[in-house]
Amino acid sequence: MKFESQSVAKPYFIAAIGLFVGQILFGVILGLQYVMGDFLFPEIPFNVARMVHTNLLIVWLLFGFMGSAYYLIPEESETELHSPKLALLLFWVFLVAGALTIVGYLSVPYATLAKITGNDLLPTMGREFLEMPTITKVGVVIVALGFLYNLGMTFLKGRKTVISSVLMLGLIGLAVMFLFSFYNPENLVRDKFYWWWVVHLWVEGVWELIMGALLAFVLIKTTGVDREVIEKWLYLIIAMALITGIIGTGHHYFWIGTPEYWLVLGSVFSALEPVPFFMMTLFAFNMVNKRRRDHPNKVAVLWAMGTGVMAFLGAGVWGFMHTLSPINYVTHGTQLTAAHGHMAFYGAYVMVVLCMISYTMPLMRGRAAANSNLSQVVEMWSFWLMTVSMVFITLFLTAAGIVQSYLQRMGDSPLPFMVVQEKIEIFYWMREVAGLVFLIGLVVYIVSFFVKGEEATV
Amino acid sequence: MKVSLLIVWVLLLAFTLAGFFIAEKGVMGQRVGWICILLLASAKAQLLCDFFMSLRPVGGYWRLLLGAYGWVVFLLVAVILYV
Amino acid sequence: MPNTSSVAAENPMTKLPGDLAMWVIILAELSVFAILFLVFAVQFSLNEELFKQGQALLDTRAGLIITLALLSASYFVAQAVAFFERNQPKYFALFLLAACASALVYVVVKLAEYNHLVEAGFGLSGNKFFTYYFLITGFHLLHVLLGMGILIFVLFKRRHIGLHGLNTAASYWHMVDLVWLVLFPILYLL
Repeated sequence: MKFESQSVAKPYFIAAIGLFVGQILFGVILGLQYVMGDFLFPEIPFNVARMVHTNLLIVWLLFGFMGSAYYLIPEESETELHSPKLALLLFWVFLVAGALTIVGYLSVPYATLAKITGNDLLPTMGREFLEMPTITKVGVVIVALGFLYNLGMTFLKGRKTVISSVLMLGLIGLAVMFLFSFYNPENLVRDKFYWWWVVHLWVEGVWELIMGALLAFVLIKTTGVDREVIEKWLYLIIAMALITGIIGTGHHYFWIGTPEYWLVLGSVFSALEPVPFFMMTLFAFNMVNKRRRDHPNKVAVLWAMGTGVMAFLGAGVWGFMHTLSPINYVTHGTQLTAAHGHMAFYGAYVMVVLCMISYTMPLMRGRAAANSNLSQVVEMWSFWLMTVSMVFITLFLTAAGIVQSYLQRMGDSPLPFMVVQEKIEIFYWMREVAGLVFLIGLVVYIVSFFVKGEEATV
Repeated sequence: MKVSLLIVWVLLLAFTLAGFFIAEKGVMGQRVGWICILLLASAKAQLLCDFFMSLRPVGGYWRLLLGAYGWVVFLLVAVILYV
Repeated sequence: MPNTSSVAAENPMTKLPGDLAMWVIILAELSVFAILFLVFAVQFSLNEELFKQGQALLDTRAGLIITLALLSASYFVAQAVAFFERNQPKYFALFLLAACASALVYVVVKLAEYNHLVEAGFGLSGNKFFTYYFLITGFHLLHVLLGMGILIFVLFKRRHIGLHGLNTAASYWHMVDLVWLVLFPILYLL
């Protein structure tokens, strides 16, 4: 760790992992509720568990991004963070706001939560993934502004690199797009139109910039490949991400009541959205192949390569599978969507955050470069347990989605929703088992932090 | 003034006019005229890549990829329409 | 540490005129247009009557003028680069201006075409042929405008821009022309 102030990343990462555990616990609850509908009813109904699961995912990834940025920007800029105190203050503000929101979801009916948080002053509640009360959203904006200010001052003070510039651009974009969560048009079509400006332009837009920058950072540090080479790759990757992703938003505009030309625009541009992810895979493998050193932190390199592959598969391939409008007509909103969503989020964003944590934590905990061999091996176990179980979750949901699409939306006599759900129950059970293995993998991941031993040298 | 560029330009203009007249003469729609038009267009694309984009000295897969763009797209379009 | 540039020198990519990043962009753009052309062809075969009717309403003479204009613009750009290489700044600037003027011809004719069609009641919605027509040619128009912007930028910054930057800009322009060469037969003449 080159600068003391980089250590503010640590609490962010710890919180991230803690919230990740919460997310998966609720994921497992949800998986069971799919097949045992009244599990934990009425204390934790399905819709509440779902809000907790999805909101926790987003918040823990945000903690992960913030921690990563607090570590990366000072190092790239070659100067101390502008205000470590501010970073820590914002950490607590964000964590408390987040915790209170989750408590709110779990303890009172949603309508009550809306009332007591003054939603009618500026209504922003009630939309998927953006269920948090308006005041929480305002809190997020304040935290984001403080975060960007802190990093911005650091960035401007020091050396500007492509990696730090791309990360800053991605983070600013993240903050700006989040503002659209405050825009809630009366017209349902426009409501949905702008909702995607947060969701799509996040995960298929600015978040890809963040991911690219983080991946590039870890690759530079662990492979020793020339900065010029890595930065050129990064430029190309984000160019492709933006070229394909911005108009690619159109693949969410097929059926919501927007003009027909979106069927063409959305299909054509989003068909190319796998390209930047494919490039990231090539990037990771190529850089490791051309490496000039064998970095002792082998597991961080494993996460980096794994991110490339899983992001390409989950976001790229599975996304492509249902992005063309004729296919999407039949698969829209089915379990195929869920399959894609899970693997995409895990492959692209969960894994890149875990990659950063894997690389930075040993350094922040006093190691010279990496954890002990044993600790790394345990972490590698967690990598494989989580990754392989996620693949199975995705495969089972894909099967469910294909059967669902066929029975419910195709043929001469389509069957009703609930009838079809009964027929695909077997896949839900299998998914739940895979989900439990994922949870085990996560536990092993946490255990790896407590495994001691002599630092690995090569 | 690079003379080779001037020559290529004249060729391109000539091919364009030739294609246009084939189309205007109403041979358009007839397979032969249509194929002529596409061949001329593909050749133009190739010339543009080789000389204006200077891909000829580069050679290799860049020249192949880009120079063949016209040929490949037209071929695929022809297949889609007539097969 | 070994010098990567010696390895780079053997790499054919370094012979490419202009920045590698631009060539990746060129590849990406060509891919998008290729997909659009292929989708257009599929839709054509599924809606032959409608598409043939739509095509009959297009002005092939306008298309001819546009093709000649864009080809000439490309020629002027290529020649301008040659003048730059031979250190003839006056001719360089002149030919670059000529390129912009040629490109402007395209813009004027294209907008006139659009105007005519819109007045006849056609637009992005309603008629599948014209949805594709406006989307594809509109997308191309945007690229021409960007290309013109890049050329004008190069013209103004000619004292600061090097051959590498100039070649990058020129390559982009040629790509725009290449796309039109493929677009015109497919949309207008099939």
